[in-house]
This record gives sequence, C-alpha cells and structure tokens, in this order.
Amino acid sequence: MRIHILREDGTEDDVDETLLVKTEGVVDDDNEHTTWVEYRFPQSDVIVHRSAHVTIKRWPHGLGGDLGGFGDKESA
Amino acid sequence: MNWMRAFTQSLDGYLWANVQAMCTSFKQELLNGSHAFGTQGANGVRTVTTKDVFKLALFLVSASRGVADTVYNTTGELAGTGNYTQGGTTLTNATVPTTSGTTAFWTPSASAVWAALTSSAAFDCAVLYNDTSTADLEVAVFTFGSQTVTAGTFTLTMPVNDAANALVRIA
Repeated sequence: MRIHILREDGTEDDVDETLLVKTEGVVDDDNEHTTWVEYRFPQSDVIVHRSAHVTIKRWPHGLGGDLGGFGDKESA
Repeated sequence: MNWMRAFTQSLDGYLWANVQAMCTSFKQELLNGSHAFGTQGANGVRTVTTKDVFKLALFLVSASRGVADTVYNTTGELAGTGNYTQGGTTLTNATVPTTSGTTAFWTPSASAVWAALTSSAAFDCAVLYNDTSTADLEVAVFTFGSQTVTAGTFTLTMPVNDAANALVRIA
C-alpha cells in the first residue's frame, strides 16, 4: 500500500508502507472514540504521515425544556 | 470532562481553552427563527422552503471557543495551508430534524472529512455554524483530544442520530 507523506524538506510523496514504521492508537472516553495512525522512516522521529478519525459520541450540553409560568405567586 | 480540562490547563499556566457548548446566542436565535436545519410549513404566514447551509471549522488548541461565541470567525482557526480552507467544510444535510419522545434532534447525514491535510498546528475543536446567515451565526463548539494531521485524512464521524446522541438535541 502506498502512503502519502510529507518529507522534512516540505515536499510530498507517495511511498510504500513497507519502508515506514507504523504506529496506531485509540482514544475512547465519554466524549469521543478516536483512532489514529502515524508513520515515520526507520531511525527517524519525524512523523511523515498522520491521520485521525474522531467519532463524537454525544453532545453533553443539550437545551433544557423548562417553561416559564404565568404571573407570579405574590400577585396570584 | 471539559470543565476539568479547562481548569487543569489554567493551572498549568494556560489561560485559553476550547470548551464544548451550545452557544447561548443560538438558543435566542432559535426563538427568533434564525436557523433552518430542515424545511417545513412553519406557520400560516411564512414557510421555510430552503434549508440553511451549515459548516464545521477546525480550531487550534490555543483558541478560546465556547459558550459565549456568537458568530464564526477565523480567530484561532487552522491556517489556510496544507489543504485546509478557512471557513471549514460544508456538512451534508439530508436528514431532516425529527423527534423521539420529548426530544427534538438533528445530525448531519455524513461525516466531515478533510483529505490530504497537513494541519498548521495541533487542534482540538470544531465549530458548527450557519453559513447561510449573513453573520455566520455560531451554533455550537465541539471538543476532542488534541490532534495533528500530516499529509493525512481527518474525519469527524457524526454521532448516532437519535434522542440520546444526536449532534443537536433539544430535550
């Protein structure tokens, strides 16, 4: 498989995945489920490709449904 | 929890943070009929026949988006480099708002995808706003773990469109 990369000199290229070191990760909490993958060349700390996929699980702050009343207790 | 994250960052000496929220101004705008997530015969006087266009834009970890936002702007947004276009991406809106029980809800019908992206810096926030409105009225702020993308794809997959999980819910 060919991987699109950004070289340190700023040029972009497609290289074979077998030439790269692959690292994957997962984040899973109440808010999100995220997977990511990144690639480096062997013997290098520079990330040349990184993709991430975030799934927002749910919205924690919806609108409430309170209704106001008519008049007030003192005047009722 | 987002408030804990913001608090922790302030302890670390950072005074900025993106905080997930439905914008207060959006709630007022709902009462004023400023947003059309779907179309319907609203009432006998005016009928909504055209849905508004909603967009998602990505914001840097160093930004300060939150509940007090009223309109989209580029302050703190990813730079327009590396295949990112400021203003963000248009959401696919093929699923009309609906209800279940006492909750009304809406979710975009497709994921938001940025392909061949190299982000200008780390980002942890997406802002939902109404691109049809003249002022780009802001709807909400979503946060997630800090991400950088290099010559890759960033995907925001939408939650399940139901009363418990939808992106926009009015309970």
